[in-house]
Amino acid sequence: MQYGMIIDLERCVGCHACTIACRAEWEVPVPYQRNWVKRLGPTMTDDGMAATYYPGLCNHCDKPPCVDECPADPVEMTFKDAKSGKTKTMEVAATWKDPFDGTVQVDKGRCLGCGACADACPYGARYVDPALADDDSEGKVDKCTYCKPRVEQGLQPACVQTCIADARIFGDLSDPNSEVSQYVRKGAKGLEVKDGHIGPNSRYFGNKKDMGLLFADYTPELADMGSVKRRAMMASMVKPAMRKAKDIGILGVAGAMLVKTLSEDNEKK
Amino acid sequence: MSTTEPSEDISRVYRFLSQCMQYPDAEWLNHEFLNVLYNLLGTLGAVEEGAAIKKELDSAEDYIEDLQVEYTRLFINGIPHVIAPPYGSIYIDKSLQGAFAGDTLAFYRDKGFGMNDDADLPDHLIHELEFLSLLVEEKDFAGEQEFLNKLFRPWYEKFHSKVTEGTHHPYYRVVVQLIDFLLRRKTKMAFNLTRRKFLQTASLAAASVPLSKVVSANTGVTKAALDTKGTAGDKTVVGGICEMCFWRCQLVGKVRDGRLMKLEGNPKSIDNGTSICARGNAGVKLLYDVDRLKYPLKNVGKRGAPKWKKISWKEALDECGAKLKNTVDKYGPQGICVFPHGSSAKYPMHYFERAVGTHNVSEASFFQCRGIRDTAYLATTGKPPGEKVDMANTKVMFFIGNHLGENVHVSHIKQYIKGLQNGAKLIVADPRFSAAAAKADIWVQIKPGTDTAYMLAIMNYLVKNNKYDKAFVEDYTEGFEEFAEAIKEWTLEKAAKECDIPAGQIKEVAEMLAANAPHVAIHPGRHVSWYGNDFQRQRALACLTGILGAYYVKGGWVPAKGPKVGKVSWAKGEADHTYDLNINHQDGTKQYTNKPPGTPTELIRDCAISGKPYPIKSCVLWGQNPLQTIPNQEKMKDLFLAMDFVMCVDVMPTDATAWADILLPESSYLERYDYIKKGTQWDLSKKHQQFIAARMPLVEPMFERKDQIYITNEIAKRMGNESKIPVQTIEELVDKSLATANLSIEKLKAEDGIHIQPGKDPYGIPEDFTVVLYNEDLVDDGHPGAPTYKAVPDNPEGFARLLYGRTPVHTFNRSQNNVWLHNAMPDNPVWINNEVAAKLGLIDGDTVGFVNSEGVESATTTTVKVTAGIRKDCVYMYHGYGSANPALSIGHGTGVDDQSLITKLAVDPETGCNGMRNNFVKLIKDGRVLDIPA
Repeated sequence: MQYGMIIDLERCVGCHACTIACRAEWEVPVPYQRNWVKRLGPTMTDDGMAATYYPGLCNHCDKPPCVDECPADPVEMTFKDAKSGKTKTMEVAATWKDPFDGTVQVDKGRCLGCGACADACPYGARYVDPALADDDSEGKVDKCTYCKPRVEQGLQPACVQTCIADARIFGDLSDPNSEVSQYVRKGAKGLEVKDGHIGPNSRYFGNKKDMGLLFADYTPELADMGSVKRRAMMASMVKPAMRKAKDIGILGVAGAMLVKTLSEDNEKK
Repeated sequence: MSTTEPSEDISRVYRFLSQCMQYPDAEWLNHEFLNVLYNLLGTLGAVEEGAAIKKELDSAEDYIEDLQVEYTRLFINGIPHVIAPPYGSIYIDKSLQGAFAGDTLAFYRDKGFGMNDDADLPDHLIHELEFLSLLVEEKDFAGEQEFLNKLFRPWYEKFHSKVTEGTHHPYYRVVVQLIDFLLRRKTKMAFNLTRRKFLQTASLAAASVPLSKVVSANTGVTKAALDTKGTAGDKTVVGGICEMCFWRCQLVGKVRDGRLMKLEGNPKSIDNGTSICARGNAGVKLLYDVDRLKYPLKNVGKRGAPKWKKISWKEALDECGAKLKNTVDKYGPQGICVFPHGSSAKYPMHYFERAVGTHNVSEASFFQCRGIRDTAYLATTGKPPGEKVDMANTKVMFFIGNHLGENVHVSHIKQYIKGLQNGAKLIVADPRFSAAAAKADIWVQIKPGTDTAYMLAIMNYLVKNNKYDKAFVEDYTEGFEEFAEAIKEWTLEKAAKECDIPAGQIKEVAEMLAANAPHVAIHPGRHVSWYGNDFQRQRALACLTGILGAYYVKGGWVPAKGPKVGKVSWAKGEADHTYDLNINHQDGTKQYTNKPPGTPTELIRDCAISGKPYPIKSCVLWGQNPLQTIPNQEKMKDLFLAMDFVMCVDVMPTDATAWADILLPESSYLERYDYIKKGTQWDLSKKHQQFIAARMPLVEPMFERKDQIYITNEIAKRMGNESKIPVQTIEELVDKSLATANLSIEKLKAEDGIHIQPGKDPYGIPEDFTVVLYNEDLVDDGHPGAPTYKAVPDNPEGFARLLYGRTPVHTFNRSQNNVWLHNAMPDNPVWINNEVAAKLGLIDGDTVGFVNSEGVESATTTTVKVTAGIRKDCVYMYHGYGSANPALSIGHGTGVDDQSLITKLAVDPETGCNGMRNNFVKLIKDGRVLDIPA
């Protein structure tokens, strides 16, 4: 099973109901966001004057680059398929791809707040909320869950439920009879990264002109994984070190240097 | 020296501190109280602090009023904004009534206490101190400590520093310091004394055991769960009717521990269904907006530069009643002018019109919006058209300036999208590539102001080429011959030149309409007060619909057959037009023959400012912000200044509320009963159903907010109109209205907030229906009988025409302070043509201001949006931004107020409504005024 979402640009009017409903449902604090609507154009294209929208959210990718980068200590976790009751146990860090529904989820309790996953995401679909910082972290990462807690209760994701134009369709992409699969057959496409394949599962459907504009403006590149990995690695080293340093009231020279590098990384972003 | 129990002493200290933070009043804040305070400060070694207070109070003319103004500014509704709301959850949850308030109340309850009916919110500083006093009185020192740690200290520090930074008065600076000193864990050496010494001196040494606990370190607050819960498990409350805009979708609320967490479309709705728009979703942020009006306020400063002081409802109502009565006694009922807006303003509007007897009422929804549409269609078809076009089942949609998508009304958008999905063609005439133009098959990039010429050419083409609906014209229209004759000059070429569009495109549109008639949706529009020639354009739309035979047919203009519900309000008296400004009293003729209900705005403003033909001396604002709805802000301010009395009722501060003498806080649409929404299923081709839904509160009103029936009735009593009061409460009004449909509030609640009943087929032309193409009555009144194009003034050299419109995340200015909506679109970038921008050296994101052709400059700046999607002769921005009232801590000064640049008046000759798109601007960048190239 692989949950996915279709956004039908022929229907979308760019009204932002989806983004505000998400805020209300999950108490997402301003200025952060789990989903967004960007207005594109009007601009002259090869197909004529065009304007459309980029309603974005986590793509719950087939090969999510964010998941691999999490430096939190792995733990064993048992997943359960809601339908068949089957279980599967695997080692996961603080973020993972669910083996049954295909969604990408986060355990805030174990999140270090380092932001490596957020940097790794080509879509900018994750944010670190510093207000949730605790003794073990500088904040906690947050993102769209495809409204997993709602979906498990048989509800639609909040953005889908409120959409005034029925432009958002949620369902199982691995079921060929689902509406989302029918859209894929009609040509719905994800914003796949340039020169790569990570398999985004939030997909867009629209006319040639609008799709052309969206894909020209928002086809992402894979993040520079070298710097992401460095960041994650340092976070995993520094966090306990920093805590310890704080506890004894001294920040060692090496620690200070690491912190400096980290903050430089931040500035470069 | 005290001989009482130490617990009693501490209890008294808490209660004394609580008293210090009460709203200042001569009843308690007297010399005796102050002496106690000075003594206490002296005991603490804070003699200087006491002296500072004394000096300030002694030098004041009215020290109570000074303190009241300061209290209001700090804690209630401040200018520039409320400095330090005294509620814990503001600091912890960033919202009123956050989970923190619920936790606080739960703690009270756990200890066997509750809140009185007239109490403030549970996490108000005063109540926390009172509670501590009670706990200590019961010798529950462990409870005291737990409460201090969990529910007091976590926010008090932030509150304390806000007051310290923001206050102008030593009293509050010292009082919050005193509380800080006595209750905080880590004591800064605020006073020249240690806590320990104080405790000894104040004979509290015996209490050192419990008090040492107060100062001892302890665990902090329990952290909230890292993952938010989502609302699926929350209690569902039914009966909400949205009023973030005026389409009024049906809602349910998700309520957790008394707090409204989320709004959703009512699943039972056959109108909006489970959908609500961005604004609807953001309603909770209006509800708990800390800048909202909370208590009656009196302006003890100047109009426009207010100093607010909280007063009691009795004092506020007494003053409103007396001042308004005085105006009526001295100048007659016509001496009162009223500017109402929204569903809560109907009842007071009827009071002033019917019971008091003034004609001088100007509704923005008519005179600055859709009134022209309604009266133009009345003069053509006998019916105001609403937006009743059957877009879901049409073959062609024809929009003049409609920008659906940016202009969002949920079920209307559903009809529009369904139509497009069914393959309907869309024609959009707009100088700008709007959200609708982006979905259009034909974008007519028309020159602003020439729409009537465009439609006359279409109609002339249809007539000349026998492409109109002859059978319909024969059976259902009047004056076709005269009409055809009157428009015959409008060839495709002539219109093409006038409208600056290709003749071939006009022909293409006409052919497309003819080929699909009568299943064509000629949209009547909504906000249509544009150029001062608007009545004629609206007539043209109505006539075009007629010659295409597109009334009452599938896909045409079709009024759904909704249910009947009676209205209850003030009884209408006999019509007396003696003081009706619209009547020329020499000959009894009307100045504006086709005006909407009320009196045209400029007639009221001119009369009020000049005093001629009679004085207007009181002004009532109810839900309207005339500074950002009516053009020429200076003229509006002149009106306010000419008044003996200005009162205002609203939910939020606006630019206009700053001009009130008395400002009254109204409960919002989520906290009151009122409007009865009725209608049918949105897709007219589906099973015919009708619905009735009354607005019912989803949560209780907070603070001292009151509904419109209470406020109006109390004023009516004080003006000697008690005997005319039609209902005592809002529930009575709603129940009496519902009774006309055999319903009641109780029944509606049992039906999940919406009553649904079988409907009727809306299609089929009524026998008596007539489209008056050439209207003899209009001719008799001195107007053209057929729709006629009147050119609007051209751009002065170097200026661009200022166009404005809607953003989907705001309803005019009303929603600007909503933090979620603001974040979605924080300013209103000015759209400027890419070639023009290149000549001016402007790039996307540049910061610019404006100056208009009358020399008025914008007070703020906005960013530039460079686009090929707008004509070169105009610029465009979203309406409603740039609030000037600093009481709006989020909306203040963000973007540019388009209304401030609309100073030149263009009054529509038939209706008296304001045209607002005849103003011209230049851009200002880095202090340099940029001429717009021709």
